[in-house]
Amino acid sequence: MKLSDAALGVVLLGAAAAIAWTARGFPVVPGQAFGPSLFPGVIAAGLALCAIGLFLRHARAGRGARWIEPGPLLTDPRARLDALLVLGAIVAYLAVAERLGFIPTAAAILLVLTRRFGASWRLAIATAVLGPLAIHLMFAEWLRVPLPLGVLLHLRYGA
Amino acid sequence: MIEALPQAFALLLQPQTVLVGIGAALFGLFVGSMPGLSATMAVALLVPVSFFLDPVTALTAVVMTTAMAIFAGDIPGALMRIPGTPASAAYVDDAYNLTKQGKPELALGICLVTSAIGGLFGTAVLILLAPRLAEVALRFSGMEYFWLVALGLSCAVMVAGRDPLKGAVSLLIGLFIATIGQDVTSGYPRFTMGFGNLLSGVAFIPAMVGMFAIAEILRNLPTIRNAAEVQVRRIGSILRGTGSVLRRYPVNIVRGNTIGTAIGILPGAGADIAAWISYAVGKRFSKDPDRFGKGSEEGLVDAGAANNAAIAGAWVPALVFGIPGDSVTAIVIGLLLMKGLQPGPDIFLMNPEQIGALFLAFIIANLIMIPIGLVAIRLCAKVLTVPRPVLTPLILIFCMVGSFAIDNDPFALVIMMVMGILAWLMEENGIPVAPAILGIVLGDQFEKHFMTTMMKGDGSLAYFVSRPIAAVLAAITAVVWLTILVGLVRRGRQQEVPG
Repeated sequence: MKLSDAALGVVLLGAAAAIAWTARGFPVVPGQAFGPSLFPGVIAAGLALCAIGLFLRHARAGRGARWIEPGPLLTDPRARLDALLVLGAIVAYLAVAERLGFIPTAAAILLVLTRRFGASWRLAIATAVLGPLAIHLMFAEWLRVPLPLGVLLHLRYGA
Repeated sequence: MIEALPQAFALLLQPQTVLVGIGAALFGLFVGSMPGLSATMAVALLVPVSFFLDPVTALTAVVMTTAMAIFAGDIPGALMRIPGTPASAAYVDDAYNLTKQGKPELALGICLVTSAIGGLFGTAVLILLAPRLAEVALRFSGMEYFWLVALGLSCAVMVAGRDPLKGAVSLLIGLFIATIGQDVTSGYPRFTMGFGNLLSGVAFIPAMVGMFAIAEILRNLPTIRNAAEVQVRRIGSILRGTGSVLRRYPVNIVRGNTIGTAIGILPGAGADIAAWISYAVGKRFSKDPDRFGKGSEEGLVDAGAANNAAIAGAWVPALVFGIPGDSVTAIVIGLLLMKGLQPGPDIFLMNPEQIGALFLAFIIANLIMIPIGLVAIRLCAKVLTVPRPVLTPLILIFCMVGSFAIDNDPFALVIMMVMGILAWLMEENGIPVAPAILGIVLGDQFEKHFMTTMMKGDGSLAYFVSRPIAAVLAAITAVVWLTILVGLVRRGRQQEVPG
């Protein structure tokens, strides 16, 4: 998604205003003329200056440019679904990995995504079986980082 | 430094370090040779793992991975005309055209040997220069550090990307992200939007993984089903003929090494920009500039000698001042801080054996690059056929586990995702990511030095330049910003001219 100079300037100006407005509410350190709001204020001013620079550029050369150029990830339906699936995989992991365990969650994500991206069933299943095991071995066994075992808890430690 | 050498060797030769080093070298070769996966991404993926290793092992892994990845980026460049990492983009046409002329061995041989020479040159500069600079830096106070960081951030804006205005936007985004969490002077929580998880700031590892790995996955999605075609020809003796080419261009090698190391030292610019600049300089001084881009051996030498030199150069400011020279060392500084090692001049006094081991790791990485590289070139045809539909989901899972594992905090995945989308949006809009990374890494320090100097000087801006070194650094910073502004105005004028 590509914004034109003017559109990007508007976004930056909005961000600068939001930062400055939020920073206004920060408390002042007693006995000091400045406090936690000073540095964010400087950043907001910098962003506003950049926005002005972008507006000037738009005034010079940007007339007629489209405000937003969505780009293939948003316009191509296939790529759009791919992106949603990738982000959805993160959300799904967040939601169920603790209960279901790392290995089943990762296996499910790998199976869905590899198939979706065009791998054969054989390749997809091999990835879904071997990938999580390898990563589990690396983190849980070698680096001693606990990964959620979930439903496999009983398998490893008995009932 | 010298007296720490035996201990440094002992640290480096622990079985775990050796094993991790070899693993990291292979990992670097793999990631570097996969088109679309950059050396920085390799390091970002490595960080969650190295977090659980001891510092020397972790740093060895980073050094091995980057050195190998930058060289390995040349392999698909030469065989498929797709640079494996951005650092190989400058001379991809030359390498590929040599392959088309039936000389893939020569192209890859030149890349391999110049990479190793460049890496060793950069390492030599690192070893000789860093401790000297550290002695000077020991006398610095908060004021000098403020200007040093300011200079570093300004250079990042100047050299990152073609558009300094968007570089400045990137820097400000990074600085803003660094302000999230408790304020450095008063402890007041800022911009946390009510999330307790943000009190200690945006977690660094998930942010890096998001900005480099998740963003790259998103960027590659539209082309994920396009299988890359490898022009596998029989590869003959790789080093034959390389020697005579290198003997023809000794000046180019030294010039490329010097340019590469210097660009590496400059904050914000790394191996990719080093290669572009060295290639451009080489073309300007060449007797045969027309062949550049059409299979020029000279161009390959120029750029190949520069990119690996930049990697070691970038560690000079990172170790001495805690100011990263490129995105990789920005990640390294975050890693060092988490390991309880404060980058800065003291590190040479407090941890000489670890620094010694790091230097040795650099030397070894660039020496073993040649034998490992020779094998890698022969295996590359296999590596390049690893299907992206399988690789991309695996990287995604690895990112999630890695981000999550650091603090066992599910919120890390949220940070990773948000930062990934942010970095993707930035790159889509031509906003370079490197200055933002520098802003995130240096933001806290920058604000702390700024606030303490403000307090000491009672709010007087004149106090900021009241010591001579500080005044000099301030003047240089001003020159950098003047250069940026003049460049912007000139660029604006050029756009006004119709056509």
